Amino acid sequence: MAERMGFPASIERVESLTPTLRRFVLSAQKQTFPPVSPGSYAALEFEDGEKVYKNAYSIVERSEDGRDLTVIVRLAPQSRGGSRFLHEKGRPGLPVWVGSVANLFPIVKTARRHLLLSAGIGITPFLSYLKKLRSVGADYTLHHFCRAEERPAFEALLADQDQVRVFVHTELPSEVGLADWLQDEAIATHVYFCGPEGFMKWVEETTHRCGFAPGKAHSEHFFVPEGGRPFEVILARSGRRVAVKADETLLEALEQADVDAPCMCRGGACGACAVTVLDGQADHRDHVLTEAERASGNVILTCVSRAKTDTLTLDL
Amino acid sequence: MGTSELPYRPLTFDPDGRRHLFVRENATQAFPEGEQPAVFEVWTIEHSSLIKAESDTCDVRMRSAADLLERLAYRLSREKVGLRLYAAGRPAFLAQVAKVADGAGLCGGEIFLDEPAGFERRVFCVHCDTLHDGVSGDTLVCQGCATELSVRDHYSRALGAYMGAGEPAVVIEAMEAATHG
Ligand code: FES
Repeated sequence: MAERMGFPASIERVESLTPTLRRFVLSAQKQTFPPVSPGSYAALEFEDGEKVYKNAYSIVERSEDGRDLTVIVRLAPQSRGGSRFLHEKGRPGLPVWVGSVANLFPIVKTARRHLLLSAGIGITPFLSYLKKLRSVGADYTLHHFCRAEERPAFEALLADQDQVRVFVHTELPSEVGLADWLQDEAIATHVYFCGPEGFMKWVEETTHRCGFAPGKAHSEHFFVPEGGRPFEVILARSGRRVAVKADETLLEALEQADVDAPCMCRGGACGACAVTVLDGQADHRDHVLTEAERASGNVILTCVSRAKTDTLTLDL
Repeated sequence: MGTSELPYRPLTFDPDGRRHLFVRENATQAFPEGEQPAVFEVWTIEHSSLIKAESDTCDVRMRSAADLLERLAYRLSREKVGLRLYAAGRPAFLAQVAKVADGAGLCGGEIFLDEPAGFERRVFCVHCDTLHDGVSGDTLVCQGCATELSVRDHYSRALGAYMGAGEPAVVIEAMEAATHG
């Protein structure tokens, strides 16, 4: 068997930031972690003896010596498996496999100014951005939005930052006048945003309305796949049938059935898990496929999307 | 940045823009197609000594390409997000506009170049670095090293020129001619 890609690691420290946010420092067991560019995520794998969990998280920091990686994990009400398990059982010493590390949300090197907008857990990629932007003397501003009770936690997270460049708001973006600030940005500004769906939609519409060209608005849709109606997939090549339960993703069901399904980010952001649909109707939940691809109905991203029909036939 | 072919396309107003500026080398070049936006400026080069400063800021006449490009650079340096820039003219003019726009941090989707009006290009000899202006054909003899150059599709935005390269045999001959002659 081919050697498994990735790095064996274990939890070194756990810190509770708020009742729903925890910081985990993972330390490499053998070699050091490779250099990581700001905005990268890591696919983590861990298990509780019965179930193997695979989740992708933004890397907040890689220590100078390359021995540690820091991630922040949010416990969302709809958290299935992984994040809940880490919150409840993620103690120092727990083995964690750090699989692929990739970056779908890099800092644009040629940008003259960087405007970072985040809400809630969406701040995680920007924690690594801030360090880099500051070290190279870039022009940048971060506006972070959160609930009032979380304000002290985010202020603490940002305490080391250049305080004239970072702002924490507990009002809605529309209430603080974000649209006015956006349209006042110089033409050479690039805007980056990351947060929950409602926030993303609002920022997307607003930047578009202000005239940001698509090449200047960058986003990372960070989300935990939600469950849904159970359905069944038929694997056309073998004729096998695999049941997808309400609380698991199509990708997880395929993996559970030992089907070799491609994947990377596991969050509907990279497109690596695309599989051809031969029959049935997909319920698309990703942010990768174009309108035309959705309309064609013959491709599905297994990590987040589900089925509208009772069965889905895949070219697997 | 880098080298590539300049993306030329017939001009159409981008409805997503909030303000629009059309720069053209010649008053005969037509406005972009599509619905004309409410806020829309035109800058035209008029090679005439009779031009007086226009009071109407939506239709500005400039004396020369150099004048226009300088004002464009200044304007873009203080421009806010939402501007769309359209340019029409000969390849050399379009290339210069693209260079100014690049320098100001505009990206694809913010600048649109019309299909060039003439076929004159600026060509850079990759063997001896000589720049040739106003090249109208696909081949030329380099003024610097006498290589017979064929003009490639590769365009350098930094130089504002297409690459001209000779066939290896030609280069050798030229080099020999240079050393023996
Ligand atoms: S694994 Fe990245 S989109 Fe599915």
